[in-house]
Amino acid sequence: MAKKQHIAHDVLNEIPLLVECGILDAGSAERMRLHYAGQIDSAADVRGRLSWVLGVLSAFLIGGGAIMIVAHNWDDFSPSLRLAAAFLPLAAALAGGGYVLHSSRGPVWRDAAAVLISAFFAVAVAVVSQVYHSIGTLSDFLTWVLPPVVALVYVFGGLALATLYVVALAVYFAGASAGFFWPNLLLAAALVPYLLGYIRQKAGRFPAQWARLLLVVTAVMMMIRISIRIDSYSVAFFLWSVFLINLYLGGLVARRSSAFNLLMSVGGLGMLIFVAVFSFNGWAHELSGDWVYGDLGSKAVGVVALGVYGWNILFALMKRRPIHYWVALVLPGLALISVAVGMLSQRADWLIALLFNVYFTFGGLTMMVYGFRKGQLTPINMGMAVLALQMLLRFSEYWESFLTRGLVFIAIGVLFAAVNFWFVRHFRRKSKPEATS
Amino acid sequence: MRHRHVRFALFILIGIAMLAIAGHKIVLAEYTLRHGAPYRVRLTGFDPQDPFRGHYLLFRMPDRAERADSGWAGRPGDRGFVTLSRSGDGFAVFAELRAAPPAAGDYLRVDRRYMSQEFTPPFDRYFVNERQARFAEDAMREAQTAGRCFLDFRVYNGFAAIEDIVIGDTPLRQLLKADAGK
Repeated sequence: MAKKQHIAHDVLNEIPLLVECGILDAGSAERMRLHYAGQIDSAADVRGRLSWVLGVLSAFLIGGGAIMIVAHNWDDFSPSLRLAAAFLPLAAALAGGGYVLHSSRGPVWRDAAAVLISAFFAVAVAVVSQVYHSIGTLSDFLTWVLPPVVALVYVFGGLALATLYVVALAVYFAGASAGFFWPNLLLAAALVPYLLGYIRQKAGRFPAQWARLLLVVTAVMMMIRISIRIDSYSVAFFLWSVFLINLYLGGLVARRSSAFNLLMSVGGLGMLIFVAVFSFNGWAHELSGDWVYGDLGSKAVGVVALGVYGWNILFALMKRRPIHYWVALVLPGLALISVAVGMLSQRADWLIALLFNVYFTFGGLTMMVYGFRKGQLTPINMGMAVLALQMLLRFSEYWESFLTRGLVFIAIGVLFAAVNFWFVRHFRRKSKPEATS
Repeated sequence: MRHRHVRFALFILIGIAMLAIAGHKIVLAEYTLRHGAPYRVRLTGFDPQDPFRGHYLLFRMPDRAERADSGWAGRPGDRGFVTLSRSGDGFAVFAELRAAPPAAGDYLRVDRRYMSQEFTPPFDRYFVNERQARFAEDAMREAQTAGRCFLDFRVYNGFAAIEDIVIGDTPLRQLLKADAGK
């Protein structure tokens, strides 16, 4: 990508000379200028996007790490000290958010601040309920947490928090009972004006398409909630709607990207939606022995994911096969083995978890590296979505202590932030001589 | 510029709301623990964990009451109110499940279940340090076998807060503290 940008800079510098020598006329020179300037903008756009991705991911990881360290349940401290410890990160995040807003920082900072404030707010509420053992349901928890979060979406803008909000809404809708009918609908409806405004503002660009997807997911969830109110057995309708969204997304990506993007992103995002809905009950466990006889949701996860990937494999076989196609072929194989093993034995949870860890991490990183090399935004975003999903799933691991996982989360978050910092500085340094030449 | 100020003002309001929501939960729990009416129920339990909030002892408490509103046409998950009284041996009795709070006496705000006389109890878990989860589970299991595992809680205005789990005659918190000191 950097090489391409160098060439674009060189050509732009040469254009006046070519016009002077009579090799190019004014019209052709202008067309060339527009073409190569567009390439530079596009490269800068990709860098900005990756920077945003890393910023949000590091905020998400640090927030997640804080949640797990809190979950460690510090009995060594008194309840009042634990409560104070719950409020301090929130207060610090709010102060940081205020500074970001006041100093009109860029979208990376705004998105990261919004995600961090929301995560620490959720932590504070969770700690209070933990200290008093007054838990209630997950729906109760989300009823308190989500209203301020959706307000933050409007204040900070961007799609990172909006995306996490939609994932939380999916969990809220899937777990909520009849008593939460109106809160469900109102909290979903609260996001719609923002998404509509965003789509209009970014018309024709990738973020607008992402916002459109979020809008479709939100609207379908609302329709399903209403239908469940009418018919409590409409879960099947819910699953089929998510499947249709998956197909819609496939079409969306296919129209503007390469086959590889389609291959990875359709399955990746489909899994994101499905697993976000079902993971909080420990989906790996559901995929094990109970998979055959278990509930519709677990079966749908396996069948739809494998169907989509099977279709993608056929698609890949008809095309050229560089390394990333082989990666994409290996991943569904891992999924198949894990599901098959899960069907055979309930004790295969650890193997399923291991395989899916490899699956998501490898897939997410491959997408991001591929997108970065090719200068394409879509795979970078999809890679981020898959890695974020990986992070979500790690919350339900059992065999490491919360303290260890929390510290690892925070360390990775800091590492992402450091990479981001290096990334921004590296390209700034590289672009300086070009700008002066 | 004006737009920016409005946005900043809104942000401050959101921040206050966030702190108020978390603070409100503390005030309500503290007030209930100090001024609420005390009750006790028998428990059963085991040891799982919550992905966000750590290790806990999951337990079961009574979840049935007579329906006071036989004409209830609601759906599972609708909010309801269960009245509370005490039996002769001092344990809590969940008396009536109704659509509206009673005019007098203690009650709990609950979700109704599929069976019309069932409700979701306000508590089902007690958080413990992950290092001590196994110890707490074993202590609870032994006490349950002897029918000596109880939950003490207080109720105020439909809201309930856990005082402690009692193993035999000793509060679990006290047992955990003693175990931590070993």
